[in-house]
Amino acid sequence: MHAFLRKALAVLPFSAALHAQLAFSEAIDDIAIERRESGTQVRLRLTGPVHYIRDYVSADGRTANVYLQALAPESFSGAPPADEVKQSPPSSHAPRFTVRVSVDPRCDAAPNPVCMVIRFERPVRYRIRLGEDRRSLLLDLEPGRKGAPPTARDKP
Amino acid sequence: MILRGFLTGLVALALMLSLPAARAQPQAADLYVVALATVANMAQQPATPPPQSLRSQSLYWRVLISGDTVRYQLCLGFFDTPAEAERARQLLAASFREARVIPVNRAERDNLAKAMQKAKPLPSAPPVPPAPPVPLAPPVPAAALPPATPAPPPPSAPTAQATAPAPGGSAEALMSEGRGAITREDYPAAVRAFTQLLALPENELSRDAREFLALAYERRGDTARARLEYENYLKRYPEGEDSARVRQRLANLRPGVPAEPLRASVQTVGGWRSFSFGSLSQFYYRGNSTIDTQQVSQVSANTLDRTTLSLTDQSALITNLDASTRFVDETHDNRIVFRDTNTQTFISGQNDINRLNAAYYEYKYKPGDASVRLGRQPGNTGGLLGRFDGAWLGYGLMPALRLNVVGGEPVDYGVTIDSKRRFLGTNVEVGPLYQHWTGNVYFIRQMIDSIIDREAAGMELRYFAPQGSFASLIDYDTVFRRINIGTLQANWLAPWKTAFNMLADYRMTPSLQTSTATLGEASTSVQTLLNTYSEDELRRRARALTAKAALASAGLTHPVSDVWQIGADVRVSRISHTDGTNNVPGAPGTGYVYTYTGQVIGIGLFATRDVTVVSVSRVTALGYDGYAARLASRAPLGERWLLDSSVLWYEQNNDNGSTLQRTSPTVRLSYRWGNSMTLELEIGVEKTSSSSATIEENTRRSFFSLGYRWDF
Repeated sequence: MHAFLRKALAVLPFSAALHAQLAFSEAIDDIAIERRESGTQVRLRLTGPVHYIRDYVSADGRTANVYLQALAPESFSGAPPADEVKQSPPSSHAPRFTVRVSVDPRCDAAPNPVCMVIRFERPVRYRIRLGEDRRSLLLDLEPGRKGAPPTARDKP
Repeated sequence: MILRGFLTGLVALALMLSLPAARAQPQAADLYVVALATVANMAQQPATPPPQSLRSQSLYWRVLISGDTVRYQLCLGFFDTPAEAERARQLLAASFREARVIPVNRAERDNLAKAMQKAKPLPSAPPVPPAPPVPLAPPVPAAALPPATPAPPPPSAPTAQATAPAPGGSAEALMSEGRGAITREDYPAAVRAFTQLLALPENELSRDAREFLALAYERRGDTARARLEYENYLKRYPEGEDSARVRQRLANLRPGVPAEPLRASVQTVGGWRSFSFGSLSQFYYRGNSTIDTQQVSQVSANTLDRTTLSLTDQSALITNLDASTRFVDETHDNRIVFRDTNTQTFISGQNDINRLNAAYYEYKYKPGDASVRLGRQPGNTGGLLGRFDGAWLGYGLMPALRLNVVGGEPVDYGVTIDSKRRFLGTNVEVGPLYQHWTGNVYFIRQMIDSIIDREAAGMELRYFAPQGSFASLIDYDTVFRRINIGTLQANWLAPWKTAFNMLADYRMTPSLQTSTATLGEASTSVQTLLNTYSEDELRRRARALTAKAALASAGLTHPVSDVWQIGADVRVSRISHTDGTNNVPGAPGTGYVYTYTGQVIGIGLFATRDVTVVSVSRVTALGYDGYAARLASRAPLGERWLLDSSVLWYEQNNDNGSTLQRTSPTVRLSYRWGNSMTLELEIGVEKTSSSSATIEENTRRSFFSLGYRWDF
């Protein structure tokens, strides 16, 4: 990214904060990609506690559908009509991906549903589970044979 | 630079330890080391060096072979007693949270010394990770890996023995060099190494080298060479699991398939890495509704009156900016986050809205496990109920004990209160204990003007393991003297691959707060209301406007085949009545609402990436029965197009004879333009029909959105 744009981004939050009004809430606060013992771990930090219901992953792992239930719906309410879309931070340890979040009540039968679609740029193998803090979603990316880059997803 | 040199030197001395179990077995464990981390690749170097007091110890790699898996364990040693090793582990715990003490035998130290002696003449730069081991013995099962706590060696000792590094220029050394280069993203070096390896006579590493050579070309952006090398690979090795993977890689390189987008640039200056990323999106939303109402005479059933109303209920441009910047080095991590949503409406009488979702600065000092976050941020733990403007400070008192202090003002959207609210809280995070247990206890007090708005103490207890997790929370309000939240939830993945989930949740809604008493009052200033009501009366009124919500659910998902999965859920929920006040009437309770849901999920029915979900639900409640069905599909149309479509249907039959039917088909089409731009169009219709003895109403709402998102 251009150096000027980086500086502008650094200053922007504080100037905007001075003129900000009330806040809409969002579902995702941060996406962190960490190297772990067993491979790479992606952590989607959420803005509130959730209950994990289920996930479906396409055969090549490029698309995952995750269904959660917001336990403190006020943390997710007031969202704009648009789905929230976030992209992954730069990392050499995981293919780039985007996360699309919908809190539309029609997206799942559960009360206060939080429906996510995670789309990877490449086929990848991983396992999805709720984080230990109940406020994050974990994707454990598995290395391929002998630590080779991950490829297609194994069935859980 | 000192750190890098330190690590480079140590890694250059890393040793391959691959001992047949039979050879490792005879000697008892009489030394101890601290296993700092276990990684898939030795190029994953530790982020921080050991403390000065431990730098006289040897830092080396062990190789763990289990089945077809090879992993590398970074160890620091050697210690004569487990107590000495434990002291070292505690010193390292801040940087290596997963560090543990393991027993080893003296042969390991001796072999390490011999190998270091042999390694000395080798050139020290560039840092070349040692060659991967050539298995000399049957693989050791995972159960034979070292225990988590100091203990005598198990019957099957760890696979460990020091050997000399492979001589430079050998197939093993070149393989190691190439793989390390890939991990470092030094693709030219990787290409050189693998090309040299492939120039050697065919050996057991040639197959992997040919795949990695193609991968290096691919990562370097030389798609044509990558494709050529993948094709060469498949000609030589048409069969096997690796070949299937290579075919998949080759398929991804075919013309028209977008390559891996370039990542946001990462700049390194003086050991600091900085990068920025995020997205900017703009979408136009428009919705039109037509409401047709017929009043029906109860006597003759003739239509007496009919009205039709058409209106544009939505016409808005929504702009969303999400930007993050990070400055990171080995010990410091700085982050600036900004997220804002602006809604510009084109309907008269509606106001434009700008929402600042987040604007905070975060700093983490890694060795000390200290952090601070300042600004507008989400608050979701430690008794916080939501977003706030303020500060969050955290400090690791011990490896498994962290103290946090938080203070600020809550930020509620859509709620206007002419009172000043501010809070101060503290919480202690504990764990992980015994590998799986974590928890926290907290206390928080929130003031509104001059009185307490909310004062709560609570705790969380959690168990977290790969196959399952359990979590509980209890939040007790010490001012209202009632339980505010109680939650119990669990997930479990059974060995037969059925995933279970369970939830029991009880909470006051809205959360117990004195400020709830402002609902319906002429003034939303608590200070003003205190002229009329006492503090206790305000809390009584707040309680009278607060309901109790209870929910219990259980569900499962089971893969029937590679293509089909089934899921089922049962839920029962209840929201109590509220008493109400003289200004706000009480609300009736819902009674128990039972929901039964069944799902069938098809994966890859029409293409590799499509997912189709069919869901059917039945709802029974006090006063009505309902049925819902949903068909949703997500299907790629080539590599750049994506089609999401869904149809929802709902029917409700009320005990009083009235009915409700709703059908809502929606289609969303996405197009990926280049590597960073996405265009989207969504079109949908929602048709609702309700009828009773006196009125029939048909509503038709059509809507669409069109816009773009730029990822930078």
